[in-house]
Amino acid sequence: MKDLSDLEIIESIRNGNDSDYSLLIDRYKNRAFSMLSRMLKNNMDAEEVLQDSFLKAFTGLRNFKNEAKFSTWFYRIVYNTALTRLSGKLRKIENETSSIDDKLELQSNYDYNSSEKEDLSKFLGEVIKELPTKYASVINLFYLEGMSCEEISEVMNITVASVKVILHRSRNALKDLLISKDYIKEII
Amino acid sequence: MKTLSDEVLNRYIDGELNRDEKREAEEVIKNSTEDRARLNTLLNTDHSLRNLAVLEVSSNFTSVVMKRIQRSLRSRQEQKKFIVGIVSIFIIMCFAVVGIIGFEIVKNFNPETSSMIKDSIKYITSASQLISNIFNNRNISIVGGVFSFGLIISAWFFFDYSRMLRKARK
Repeated sequence: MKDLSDLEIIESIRNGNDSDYSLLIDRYKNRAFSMLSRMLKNNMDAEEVLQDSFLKAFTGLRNFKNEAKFSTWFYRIVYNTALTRLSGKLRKIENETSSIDDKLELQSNYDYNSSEKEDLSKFLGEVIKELPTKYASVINLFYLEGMSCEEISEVMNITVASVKVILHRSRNALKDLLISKDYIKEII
Repeated sequence: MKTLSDEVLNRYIDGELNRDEKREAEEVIKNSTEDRARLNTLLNTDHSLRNLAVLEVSSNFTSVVMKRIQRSLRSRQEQKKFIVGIVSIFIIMCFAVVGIIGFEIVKNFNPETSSMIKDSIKYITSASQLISNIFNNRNISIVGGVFSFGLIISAWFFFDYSRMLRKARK
């Protein structure tokens, strides 16, 4: 049952097997949660938004057209729900459009010790939380979800060029931070 | 000596350079230790990002969402039933009004003194009279008042019910 494709599960749900939706939830919950947690910088908010997103996706399943990828469609719901939550919470969080043109400089206040130093992925996860919302989303969709820039542009409703700019700037900023924190040494 | 920009290095990592650009970049990387170092650190960052930790939601997450879905499905069905109930009451009321009018017409009907055409005209006249009596200047405000009151009460019940369902869904 777990080997079913997304479309097969959706077909089964449309045929009245509502409980099959749990397969889709299990498939996407952790990766979507990772993205939300890094976007919203709060695990509780992330879990609430994720619940709402799954509920919205279930309600909208009959509008889902099979020619699109479920993951792209679902992440668009997740991303928009998160933005709604953010705009309600703190409208001034960042001016999303202007941030693409600004130079991105990261400073991490994350308190790490030597044992955590070995766990680079954990440190990176924390640092990504300090990226602007759009940047954190692009990094998560690209690296965790394995989406292409075209798919990300569809999810976030921005141009492919903007996705690439965000991706490159995030990568550069993270690289600079990792060097400054001595995680990676520049090999000369 | 020519150095590569971060932009070019990123495009090189993502495989976005064309054949000529790629060859040129590789040439620079080969001859420049500084560019080679920058490329390596970027590759390292990219590699680390590919191993980014996946965070986990609470263990009962799926069952919580499924319960919320079941509740929302149930409440939607109940809402549908409620709307059907309200509409049915209005339809019954309409039928009752038509029935009363019909009853009045039949009550005033005298088969011995009227021909068929005369009777038809009489029915129509008495029906229109009855309706105009109900909606005449004196009664219109009363009828309007009763109707509006009925609508307001129904709307209040409807919104209260929807609010209750929304609360239950949460």
